[in-house]
Amino acid sequence: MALQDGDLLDAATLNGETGAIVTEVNNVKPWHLRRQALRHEHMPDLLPSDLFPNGFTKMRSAAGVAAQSYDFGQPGAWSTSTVNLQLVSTDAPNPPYGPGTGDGWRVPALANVTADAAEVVFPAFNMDTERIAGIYVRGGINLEECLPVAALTTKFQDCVLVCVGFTDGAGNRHVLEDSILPWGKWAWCYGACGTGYFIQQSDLDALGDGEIQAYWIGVCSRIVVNDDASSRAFIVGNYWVSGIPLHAGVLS
Amino acid sequence: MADITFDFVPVDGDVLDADALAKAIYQRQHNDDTYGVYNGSLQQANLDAAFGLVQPEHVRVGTWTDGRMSAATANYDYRNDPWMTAADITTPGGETGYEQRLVAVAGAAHSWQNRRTPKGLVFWWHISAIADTANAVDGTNTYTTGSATAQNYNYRMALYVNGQRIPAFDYKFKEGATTMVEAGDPAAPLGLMDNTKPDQRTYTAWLLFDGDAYTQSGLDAGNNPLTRGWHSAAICVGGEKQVRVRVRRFGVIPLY
Repeated sequence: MALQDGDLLDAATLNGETGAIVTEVNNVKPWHLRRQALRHEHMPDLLPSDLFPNGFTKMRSAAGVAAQSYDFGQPGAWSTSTVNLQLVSTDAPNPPYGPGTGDGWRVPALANVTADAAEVVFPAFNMDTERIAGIYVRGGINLEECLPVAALTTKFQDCVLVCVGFTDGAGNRHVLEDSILPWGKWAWCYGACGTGYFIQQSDLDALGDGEIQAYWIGVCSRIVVNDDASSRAFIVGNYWVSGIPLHAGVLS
Repeated sequence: MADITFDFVPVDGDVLDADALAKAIYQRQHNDDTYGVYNGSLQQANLDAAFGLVQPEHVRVGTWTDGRMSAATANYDYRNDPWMTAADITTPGGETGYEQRLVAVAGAAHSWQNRRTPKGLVFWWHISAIADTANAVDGTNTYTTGSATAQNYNYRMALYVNGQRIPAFDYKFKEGATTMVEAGDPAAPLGLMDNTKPDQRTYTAWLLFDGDAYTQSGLDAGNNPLTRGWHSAAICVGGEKQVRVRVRRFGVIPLY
């Protein structure tokens, strides 16, 4: 306080002085600080847990060891314009979670249980509004078997596809096509097949309604040569998906 | 929230209560935050709403993260003989379970110290390896396929944290198509050690390991890496054949 001898001591003066102290303490300005004065207590959380109440990572349940067979194919022809990379499986059981038949992406999930899916769900938000520059998502599967039926020489182009996708605020799923990676079955059977993508607001605007409420990985197979249904199947063991939301720009 | 208040707010005409004034100034009794602020522990809530851009020079080094990484490039062979003999790599559990026999890969392991309780840890790794196959001495082996119920694989690489395997990151890998066994011909001792075939596997991943991931991981409470102090993590490898590890790296970033 800066009251001097002879100052009028009334309520307004007193409150002005004390209020100024409170205001200063509760409203620290940049010029109040010496270099490197801010520590973690002073800063916004690096991990915006309030936006992700269910965490940032989803992995296969520690319980149970059984691998699961996925039996489906990529819709359309891989090498023509008719391919529909956005097709997410709607076939039973419990689409698109866990093994299924038919065409389209499936989200790895033990025993088709939604709660065990390689998917992180959270309340929908807009990245710009929440000052999130993007979410760096990575995920993958352990491809445990490709179950081919034809000779090796016809299978060199057969692959398992892995992608990153997101669910928009309206609940519609979208595949981030630049994330799609094909993994040759023969070269990678029993291997780690993964991919990643940095989801930004521009992706949400371009594909969906501008919001995001989940990110996930999808898998499907593609038989380029001798497209017989029996060769579509492959076995997924463990799987996971993880995301890091990145702050960028102004922190305050 | 470190938002202190000053509760002696008289209006003109009030009789000055010297005790209340002195108490409000010198003997703050509101809450822990007030004491904290008086002792210099300002918090985020104390920053002005229009604080604006936080410049790097404002922030103390190590405030948010403290990352590190190990890596190596030299080939390193993990032979099955010393620890996997007479064991299979399909059965976990017990003293003979395979998870007791996998060993940490030098260059893909790390110990670190959490200087305070982290909100999360980022683990990332990349490891490439090839496993021997001994079923085609002429080097013309083709891959052996299995079935959904009788899979064919012969080595594993798995993430271990504080010595405990995390099942979701325990991956199976198939052997190579060409044996790594030396040829018997003295004139061409490396004849069968063909490293050019596309049978090298890689295992690349990273994950944000927060409290929710810890719950999913199945780690014992004593192995929770989200606590202060020293911890370790590694990619461990083991197989029923010799496994040759090549380029690998492993890193961890505590997020505070």
